[in-house]
Amino acid sequence: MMKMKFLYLVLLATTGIAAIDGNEILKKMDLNRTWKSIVSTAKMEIIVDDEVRVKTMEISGLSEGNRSLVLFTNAEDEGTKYLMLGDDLWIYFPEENDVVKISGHMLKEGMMGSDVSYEDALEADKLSDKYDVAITGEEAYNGNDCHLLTLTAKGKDAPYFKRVMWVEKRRFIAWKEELFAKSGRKLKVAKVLEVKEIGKMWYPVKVEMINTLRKNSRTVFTTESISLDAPLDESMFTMRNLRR
Amino acid sequence: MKAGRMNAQRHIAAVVVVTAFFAIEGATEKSGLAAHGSLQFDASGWYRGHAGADSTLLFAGTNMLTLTIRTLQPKSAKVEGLIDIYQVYGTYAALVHSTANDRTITALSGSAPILADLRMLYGALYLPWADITLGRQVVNYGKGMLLSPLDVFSTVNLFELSFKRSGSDIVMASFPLGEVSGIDAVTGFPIGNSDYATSLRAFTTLSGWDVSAAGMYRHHSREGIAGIAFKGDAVAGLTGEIVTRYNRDSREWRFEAMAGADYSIRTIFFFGTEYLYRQEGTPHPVYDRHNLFVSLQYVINDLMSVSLVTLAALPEENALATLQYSWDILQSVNTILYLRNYHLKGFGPLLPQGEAGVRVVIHF
Repeated sequence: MMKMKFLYLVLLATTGIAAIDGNEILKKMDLNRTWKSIVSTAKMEIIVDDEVRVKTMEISGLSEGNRSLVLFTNAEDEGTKYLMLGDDLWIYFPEENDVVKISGHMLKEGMMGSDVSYEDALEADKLSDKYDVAITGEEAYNGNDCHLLTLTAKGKDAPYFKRVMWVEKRRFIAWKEELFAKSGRKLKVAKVLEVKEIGKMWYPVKVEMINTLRKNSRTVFTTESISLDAPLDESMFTMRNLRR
Repeated sequence: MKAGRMNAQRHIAAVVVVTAFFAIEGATEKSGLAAHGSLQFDASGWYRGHAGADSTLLFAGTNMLTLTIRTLQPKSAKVEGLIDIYQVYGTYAALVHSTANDRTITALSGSAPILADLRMLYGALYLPWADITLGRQVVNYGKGMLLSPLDVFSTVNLFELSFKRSGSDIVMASFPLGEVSGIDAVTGFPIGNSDYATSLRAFTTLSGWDVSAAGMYRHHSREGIAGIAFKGDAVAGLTGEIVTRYNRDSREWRFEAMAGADYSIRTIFFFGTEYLYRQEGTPHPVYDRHNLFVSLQYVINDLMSVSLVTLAALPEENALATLQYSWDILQSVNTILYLRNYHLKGFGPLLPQGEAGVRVVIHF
């Protein structure tokens, strides 16, 4: 009887572990991107064959309302700003004193000619809000035991129709991600190259994005400095400030 | 005449004093001033083959230095200046006198004249309830890429590869009304006989659509202008402007409307188009009753692209087409190879029929 009880407990415990479902994994992944505010400096290396072009920027963001402001600081784009408020994005070009609204479908365009789209760069919605998830396997990736997740878009507002993710079991870091169109065509591959522990979070500070539709082209996005949850003035995220 | 000149001098003196105040405030911001710019080299061959004359092949070249100075991260005040200083060669040099406008300063004439175009020089003061700017600046009212009947203050230079806009000498007060809404009040300066405009514009974003309404008055031509503009997304990006003009002298109403769309396929092919209808009235050197602008771009990779830009105006049959290949050849260095075809009746021998050239831009 004791033996039976032990077996029952083992079975219950293992069932409990196995029962972590996709939604729980997504929620734990979302915790790795949960902050009130972010201030960072970053560089974007656009690599085609052996050629490298570097863009640098300062990023400020508030998670409430999905608000962010990006100021480009490299010579050719100096003073160009992006303002994102929810799903709306505007670009300010200082030489033309022009504010251009980026329409829904154009959000898929590469940011400053890179492989990172505006949607990729500014995505802040919780994955669990936009995707249905299924655990489709387990696989080691770069020495980390990973869940293999398949995410399918709940609606048309999701940036990609399908996403396949390699999510580390211990720290819930999505080390690799493949992004697909509705036709089944693979559009992009994203790889986390480096993470940094900030408080209880594991923040991806170096990410590589490969656009499979473009030959020999990839972009490496590196966060060089980062400060989370510092107080930010809400008036930064307004049309008035964008035009200044 | 004398009174008018004195009046103009008083206006200029007032502008100088107020701009100097803004400049001191802007320059003393903690972050200071930042300067950057570019060097641009253009060399092209012009083909001319007008009826009744022998065809000719001419050389045209421009070296241009663009300098920008602006306050870094302005909090309470800002100054910004942008100047193009350029030296022209060959056929361009011969055309300097016919192409230089009243805001272009010819510093030296000769076989390779040096010119300067001060496109921006303004000061801004940021008050809790409004942003006040004074001086030469670009005022961009339209939503279109090229064909915007609402753009009264700063017009697009159609002959420039990147369609630069000119600056206007104005004072502007911008009143914010929430995150994405506001009212802009703008007026030009009454100097000499040149026309100037005063305007009021309200703008906001509704359900993801940028919407604005503007009313303007051109003082010397005694013309009232009212219009609305919008830009948003419905499968493709959509843009529109509807403008009506009333001239108090001729007591005539005129109507202009622009509709545009843009779309991208797999982030490789980009397509944009605009159609502008202008009711007969004020003549324009290029635009006519029906105007169509089409832009096609193929992105080869993150560093290279090919694009075709065309503008056609009917019934005058004016047309301008540019095929260009752009390559970010080095960090901060962009090269453009271009072919242009001009069919603009109002310009006669001033422009070539065909042009093939190369442009190199170095940013610093």
